[in-house]
Amino acid sequence: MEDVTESEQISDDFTCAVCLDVLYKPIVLVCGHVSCFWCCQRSMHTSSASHCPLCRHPYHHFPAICHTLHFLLKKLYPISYNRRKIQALEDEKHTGLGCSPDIDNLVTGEELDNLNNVGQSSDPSFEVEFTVGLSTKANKLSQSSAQTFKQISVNDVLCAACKQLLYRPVVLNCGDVYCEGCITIPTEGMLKCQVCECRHPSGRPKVCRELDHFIEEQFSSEYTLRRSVIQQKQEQAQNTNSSNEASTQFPMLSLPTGETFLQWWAANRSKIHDHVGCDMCGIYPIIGDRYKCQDCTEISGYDLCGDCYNTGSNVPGRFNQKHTPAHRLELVKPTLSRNIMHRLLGRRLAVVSAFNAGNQSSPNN
Amino acid sequence: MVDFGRVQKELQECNKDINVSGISVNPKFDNLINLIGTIPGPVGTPYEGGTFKIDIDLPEAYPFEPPRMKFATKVWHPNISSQSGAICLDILKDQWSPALTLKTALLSIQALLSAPEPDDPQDAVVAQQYLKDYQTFASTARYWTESFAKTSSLGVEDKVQKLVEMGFPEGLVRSTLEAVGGDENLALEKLCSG
Repeated sequence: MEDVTESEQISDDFTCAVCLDVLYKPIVLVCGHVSCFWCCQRSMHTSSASHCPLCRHPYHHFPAICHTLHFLLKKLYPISYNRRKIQALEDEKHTGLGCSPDIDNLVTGEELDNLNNVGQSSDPSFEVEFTVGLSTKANKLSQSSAQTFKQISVNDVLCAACKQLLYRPVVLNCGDVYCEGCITIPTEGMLKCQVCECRHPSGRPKVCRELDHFIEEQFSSEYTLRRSVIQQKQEQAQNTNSSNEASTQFPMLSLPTGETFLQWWAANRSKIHDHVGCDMCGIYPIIGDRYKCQDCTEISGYDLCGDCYNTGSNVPGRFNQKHTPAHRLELVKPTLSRNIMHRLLGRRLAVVSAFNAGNQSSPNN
Repeated sequence: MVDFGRVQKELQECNKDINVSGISVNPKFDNLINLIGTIPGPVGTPYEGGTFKIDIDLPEAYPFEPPRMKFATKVWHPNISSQSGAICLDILKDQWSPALTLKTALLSIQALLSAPEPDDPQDAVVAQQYLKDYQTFASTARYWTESFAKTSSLGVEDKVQKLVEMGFPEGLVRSTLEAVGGDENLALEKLCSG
């Protein structure tokens, strides 16, 4: 391992709890905790619900990288971030796990889009064009802007909805950041991101404390101003209507955990696609219908869950696959290896039998 | 592939506040996979005054899989095997999280020493004794601490001399002793293996 003799002091807020290094390609879970793309991916359970490494909050969807945080960290710690980039590229080559998304190019596309149609929501197919085409124009723009990016400004931490400084930021499954108050929960159906129109199936997102803390410290006067304005609004809203029902009935996908898991698993095991996640919504593992791309040649492959297949959207893969809408998708049945089943069942049984007093766990377990 | 960058950071971090926590982690041999952790016996328990060594092996997938830990020092405790040193602790099994570290795991083991859980035993004999005859349990645990967990009365110079007499070069003996924290048995093991 190379010697880390960088002068950059990484704030505890932006240190990944898993690799203990500066966050790289940060992922924000629905509980508000952040980890690196690969740290999160590798922490996930391959055949059932995953749990946040920090708070153990269960989740089923592998969120997309938070672009706002990515560019913020890149500006804050250019040396460390670049070191992590080189390290990650090397690891990706060796581990054969696939590649993490090349978001530097991707987001330049989005930025261009935002510049062109200020305030309008972007066309979802736009992203695809940019990852596939990798427009040279976009590349040039990212290079020139990388040089001017030095000072952190309020523009780096804006809400996707109100376009003002983020106040109590929450991050959706698609990686877009909003103020907690800017999220409006629909009475019917699932919350959708206003920017990319991706569904947010993971329940009400919690505030990302790390980002909130950073913004409060960095832009204290603006932050205080935002707080007083928002609190005033909230008070007014409370006076006019006191209904809070939507928040309690937030639609989300939930799978059983703990004791009921075995029963549920026995009934549904034939529907679980171990080790396979949806490249659109990020559900991992896919349960039920799975559509596999016949034309993507990357190791990670490209898969969609039934719901995402039916909504008909095509977004670039989670692992930088060069998937295009022209590719053919085919329904695939789960392949259940007996060995894997036994191992997993064994592990779960061990958990359940921990309730029994006579549990004799082997010393080498 | 073990994340050695993280392990190195963990060791630095842990050994930085050794004076406060009394907990240390050091390489057992010349690698970062086999480690030795030490925890002081908690005050106010039969383990008080003892220094307990814990063998740590890091699996390939660490930190995504828990470190394998067992007591190298013999200890009398309901949740620790008196024979093999195996530890019955949930965070070392299914409750492990990659955000936990070697230090937090050792702290949990230290907490386990202060608060045994005889209802979920590793060593049934000890657990039975703990539940039925606490006085005998406490005195046995204290006796084991005295016999196995107290640093030997020999001074550093005596230990060096003893090992030099066995035929090892003095410089190597001193550096090895230092590396294992002064434990002559561990030093001997290390000298013989490498």
